[in-house]
Amino acid sequence: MSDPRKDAKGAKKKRFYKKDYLFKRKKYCKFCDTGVAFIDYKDVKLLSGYLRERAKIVPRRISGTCAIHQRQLTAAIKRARLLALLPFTQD
Amino acid sequence: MRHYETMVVLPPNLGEADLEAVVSQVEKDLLERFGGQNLAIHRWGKRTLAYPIRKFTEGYYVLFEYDSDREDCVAGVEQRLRLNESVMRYLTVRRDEEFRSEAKMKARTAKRRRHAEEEDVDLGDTFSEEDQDVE
Repeated sequence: MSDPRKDAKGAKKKRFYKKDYLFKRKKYCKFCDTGVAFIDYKDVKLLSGYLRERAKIVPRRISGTCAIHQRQLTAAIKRARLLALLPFTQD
Repeated sequence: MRHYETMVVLPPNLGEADLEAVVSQVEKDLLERFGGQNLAIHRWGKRTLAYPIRKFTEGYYVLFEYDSDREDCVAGVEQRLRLNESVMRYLTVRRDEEFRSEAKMKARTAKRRRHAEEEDVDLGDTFSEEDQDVE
C-alpha cells in the first residue's frame, strides 16, 4: 500500500503553506489608526481610494478596514454616487 | 435641534441669475417656511460629473448647511426641490448624529491605544528575557 502523503523513502512529504514563503504585511484599519469619527461623503479624494478600476467598492478583506468604518465608507460612497461625485461604474 | 445639510446639483447651462434664483429660493424656503436657522451656503462651483446627467458632463454644486426644529423641514425642502425642474440632483443628510458618534469613536480609539501600549510593554519583557538566555 502506498501512501500518497509519503515519498519513496517513507518520509512524510512536507506540505507547502503560503506562509512558508510569503511575507505578509499585517493589515490595519486606516480610519481607526487616525481616529476618524465619521466618513464624509463629500471627501471625494478619500473615497476614490477605496474604489477599484471598475468603480466597485474595495472589500474589507483587501483594504483591511474594520467593520464599523467599512459600513460608514460604503454609505459615504453610495451617497457620493447619487450626486455624481463618484461613478457607479467605469467602463 | 437637528443639524442638516442639503447638496443640490444644478445644470451647467444655467445662467448666473437663474443659479442665484434657485439658491435664494431654497434659502427663502428654509428660513421663512420651514424654520431653518444658522444657514450657511457653500458654493462649490462647476464640477465635472462622474457620469452624465441629462446629457450634461458638468454641474453646479451648492451645499446648504442648517439647523431646524421642524419635523417637516426636510420633507418640505425636498418637495420644493423635486418640483424645481432645473434641479438635477439633491441629497439631504442629518449631521448631528455624526457629531454624537464622534465622542464614542474618540473613546474607542483611546481604549485601543491603551491596549496597544500595554502589548508593547509585554513584548519588551519577552525580548529582554531572550537576551539573557543568549548570554
